[in-house]
Amino acid sequence: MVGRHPFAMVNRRGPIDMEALNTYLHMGGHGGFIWASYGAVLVVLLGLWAISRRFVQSSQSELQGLNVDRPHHKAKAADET
Amino acid sequence: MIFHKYANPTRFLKLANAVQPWAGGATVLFFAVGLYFALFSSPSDYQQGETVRIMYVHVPAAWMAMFCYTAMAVAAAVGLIWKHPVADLAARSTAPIGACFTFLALFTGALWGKPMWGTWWVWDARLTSVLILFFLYLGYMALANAFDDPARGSKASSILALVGVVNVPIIKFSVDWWNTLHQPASVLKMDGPAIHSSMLVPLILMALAFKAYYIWVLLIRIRGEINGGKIRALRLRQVHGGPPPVRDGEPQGAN
Repeated sequence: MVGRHPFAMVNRRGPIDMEALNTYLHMGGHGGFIWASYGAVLVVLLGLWAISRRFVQSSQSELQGLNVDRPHHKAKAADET
Repeated sequence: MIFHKYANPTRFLKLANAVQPWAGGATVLFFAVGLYFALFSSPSDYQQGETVRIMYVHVPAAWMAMFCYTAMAVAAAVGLIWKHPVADLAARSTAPIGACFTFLALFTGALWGKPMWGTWWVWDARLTSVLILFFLYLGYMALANAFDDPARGSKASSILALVGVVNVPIIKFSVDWWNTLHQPASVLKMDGPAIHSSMLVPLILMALAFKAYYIWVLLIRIRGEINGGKIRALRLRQVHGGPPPVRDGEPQGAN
């Protein structure tokens, strides 16, 4: 198919071949369905990864806060000072 | 048995620390190569045209939806039978990942179905059983978090996970047992894959990307659940004002 390879969309002179890019994005008239599928995968997987990371980071900081409040930690901190 | 070795969350975290960067790297690498093949290098189908490219995300998502449920049920069984704390946390951590894969399988399936079948949805055996799988994941998560005592939540949700696992073979064989609009298996067949290698390679690469992503996010989430167990134990200690009930790294109320 014309313009299938990404490098085929770049002219030797520099600017991107818009016609080839449009043909590629159009995907034979089914671009909406295909790009929506890949977009959904991107959004859901990136979203879950970000939520999971935030979950760990917030629990880690909460845990550190609680550990600081623990009596033997306080005693240890006092000994160090 | 080896899984008893990793019943200690601190020991498990050591393993997770070693595996997690590799899982993250493998995810990025497999997605980069897989997407290149899926979107640029692979040919269009002689019947379906360019819409066949939806297969490279739809099929791995559907495989992972079933895999995650099976993994969740196994982890739930190990947690129930052997009171393995990390297995319980693995089951809890797998549920949202599996639910996301199931949602993606349903969503991308609808987007593939509209141009190919002329409809977004039909109540055939395959689609309906996958929808039930999605509800099982939601039910598991709701039940696991429905109790103040996480141990009771884990027990109730583990039983649901074990009951619901009967749905996995129903999904797999639904296309053989009933007349469905959904096509039969074309990759995981007794007589070998029925699709050309130019399409099989990107499909396998994307499947590996999804698998690596699962391991990566699972390890991140288990770490969060272990922290959650420690936080609950420390809060209990603060409330009761007693001596430390456990060693550091042992989540309380997680099983």
